[in-house]
Amino acid sequence: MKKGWLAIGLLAGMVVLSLWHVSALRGLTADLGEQLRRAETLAEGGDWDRAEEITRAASEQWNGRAFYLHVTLDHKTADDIAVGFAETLESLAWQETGAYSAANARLMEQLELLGEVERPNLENLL
Amino acid sequence: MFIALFRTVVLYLLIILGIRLMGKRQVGELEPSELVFTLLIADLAAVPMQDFGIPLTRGVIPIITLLCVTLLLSLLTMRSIKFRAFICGRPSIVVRDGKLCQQEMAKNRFTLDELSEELRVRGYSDISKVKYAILETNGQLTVLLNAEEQPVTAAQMGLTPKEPGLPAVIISDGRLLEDNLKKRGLDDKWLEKQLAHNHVRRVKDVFILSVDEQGTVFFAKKEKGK
Repeated sequence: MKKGWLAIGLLAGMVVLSLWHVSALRGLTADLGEQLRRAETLAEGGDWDRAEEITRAASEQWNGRAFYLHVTLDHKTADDIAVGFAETLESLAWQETGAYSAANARLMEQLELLGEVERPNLENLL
Repeated sequence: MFIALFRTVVLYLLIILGIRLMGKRQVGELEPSELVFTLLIADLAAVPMQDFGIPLTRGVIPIITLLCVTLLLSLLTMRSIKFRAFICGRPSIVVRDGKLCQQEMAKNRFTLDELSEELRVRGYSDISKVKYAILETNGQLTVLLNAEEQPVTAAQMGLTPKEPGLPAVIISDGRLLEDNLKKRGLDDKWLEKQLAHNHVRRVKDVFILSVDEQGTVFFAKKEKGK
């Protein structure tokens, strides 16, 4: 029976960890999405420097969790978002409105989808 | 390359651990849940072993989850007869008193050809001499012959042969197993006597030395070059 309790404990532990991971990921992607939205508003108002500052902070927040993200997510997904941040920052540096809007929109969408993909809802389960 | 090496070793050891925890059974004796586990873990391990873009956890977590669920199902089947019947099914008698139980055969999709083959493999060609043929839950067929068809035993002839007991290996491939030597109540003097009797000087030169409960010794020297 010891093995049984160990198995139950392991399963329960994995359920708790996976739910924590879902919550942490949603929190991270929501936070980053909010920062990118704020940056876009500032860029639209002409404050490119502040927009770049906020986007860079968001990028550093993402890269700061690189180890955790590469251990839990497909590497391509994590890398695509890192590349997205690089593209967005580059277009911000050049103050290219069209390119920046497209890159930022793509990045925000990727983050939102990432936050959704691990949710234990019916759509994902099926 | 190092990543491939590392992941392969980790996942391989994890699979060995999983199979080890399943216990001492052959593939044909596994419960359905254990058989499914055995079939699935190889595929689960192969994916992160080959695709470095997938995190190692994508292989480890499903394997550990399957292992835990399989273990729990095995424990439940041990504790509950009803659950065991649900998961493993019940044995079916396909031959009774020399007659085919055709309904049971149809229920198990067990054809006459399969039955004949199984009986032939066991050396039985005449169904009328079979008292019971039972299709077990693991798919194997157990055949019990009528009493008059069964081989005579020593007890039936009123004989009482000696019990040979279980042989204990004392030396295995040149290595002395001291625990077994003590368990058999033997000592180094006995061992030296056996080595001398077989014209061997060292334990290292012995391939196998075993002794059963009656004291019967089996000895084999190592061949030259090994």
